Amino acid sequence: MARSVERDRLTSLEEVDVVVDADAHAQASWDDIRAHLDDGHERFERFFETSPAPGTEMNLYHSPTPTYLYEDMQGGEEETAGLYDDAKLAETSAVAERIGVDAGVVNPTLILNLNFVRERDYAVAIMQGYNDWLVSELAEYDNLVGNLVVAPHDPRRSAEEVERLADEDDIAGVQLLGTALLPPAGHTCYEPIYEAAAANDLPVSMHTSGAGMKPFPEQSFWAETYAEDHVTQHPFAHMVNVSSLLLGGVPERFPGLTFVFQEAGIGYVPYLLRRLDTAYHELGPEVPALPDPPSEYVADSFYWCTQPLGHTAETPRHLAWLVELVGPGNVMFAADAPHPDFDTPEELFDRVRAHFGAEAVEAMMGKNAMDVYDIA
Amino acid sequence: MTERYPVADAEELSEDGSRVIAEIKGQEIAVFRHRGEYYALANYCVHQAGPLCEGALSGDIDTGDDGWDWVYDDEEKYIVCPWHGWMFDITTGRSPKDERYAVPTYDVEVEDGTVYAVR
Repeated sequence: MARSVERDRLTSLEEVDVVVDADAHAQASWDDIRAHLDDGHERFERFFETSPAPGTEMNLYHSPTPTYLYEDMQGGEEETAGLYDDAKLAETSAVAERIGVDAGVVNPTLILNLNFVRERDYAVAIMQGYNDWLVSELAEYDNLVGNLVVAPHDPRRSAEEVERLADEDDIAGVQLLGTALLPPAGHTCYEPIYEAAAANDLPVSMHTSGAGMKPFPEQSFWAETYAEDHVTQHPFAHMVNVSSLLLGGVPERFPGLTFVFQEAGIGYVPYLLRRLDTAYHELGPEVPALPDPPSEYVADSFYWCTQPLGHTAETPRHLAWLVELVGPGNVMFAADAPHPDFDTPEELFDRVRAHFGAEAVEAMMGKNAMDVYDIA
Repeated sequence: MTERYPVADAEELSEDGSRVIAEIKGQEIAVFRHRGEYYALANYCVHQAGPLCEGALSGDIDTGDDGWDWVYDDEEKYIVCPWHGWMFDITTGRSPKDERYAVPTYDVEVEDGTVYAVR
């Protein structure tokens, strides 16, 4: 008698339960942030009022950041909606719905450059104003949750900020921005932030940013164009931060704490992990904090967002192989909606659906993000 | 069936930290003396086949109670491969860094001033 064999493969994106954009974005304007500043930050209200272009002063750069290219971002009578104009959660929510994303985890846009700010109190003010704006906005959208930002300039007050907002329904995690993070993420100075995140069961997301003058990664200084900077700085910043976190032993000290790395694709990950394990063995005495190889901690508690995937239709199987190297249990689909280098869910799904079983595909398309960000 | 092979006079291994490397039917086996005991292991690193037991003996670094500070454990029971620095505990053959890795170990017997490796 022939045995009945069910095919453990998905064939259509419609069969996927939940698609989550683990790296969605929204833009708070300076007016939005100013409107949400608490008492005690008044002097920055005056700065916002008197500066001819507070965004420019934060983001001094040698070439303009591209504006939104996606047509949904160019609504209304205005000629264009630039990156620093209207791209609030309404647009993010609409784009998510249009491309077939069920839920999105919102990260900043302009405030991706919070670490570029020199003055500690100013950074803390922006952190508070942005976060309160985010919480008030998220309440309006059922398909979005968000990461509160922290100001690494002031780990103590950042930890207080985590405590202040951790219980908000729509706050899904902590955003410790990876670009211009000096010292890098494994330094002891960030312990209060990790303690607060761990105590409140919030994952730490690390997003990098490709625009603006920044002290780290140093390659940025010699990038003459946004294109040159954008290609190199996302993975370089992540590689330094991941190495610092792991070799510094942070996952050993905070075993329940999860990290998510956003906006750099996943191509750099296999290379990085094998180098880390090699360093662990060859320079063992320099890694006393880890009783197990770095890749084992990564398998337990590090997640990698897929966007940007590039032009995967050229050689579809290569993306499936890459996901296999990284580990499908640690991959999160990210659309980056509504930014102009977004990926649709098909860009990942179509390349992996025949290579992995249904459970693994469901995990990378949305379940991993649902678990990590505790999305109901 | 195991046999024992004479690898050294006990006088050659009279001090802790001393070692001999003997070739037994084409295989090199090192015998170390550590805290008055003898330990034998293959002169072969499982990483890339380097001459493991020709490297230096070392202690190891660990973290203190707070998880941040570093503390040096000066018990020099780790052999460090001279090729790539992989470490193994001479008393167990095991990597202190990764339980998946170990080098073969052998029993040692001493009789009438001769040290034997049992293989």
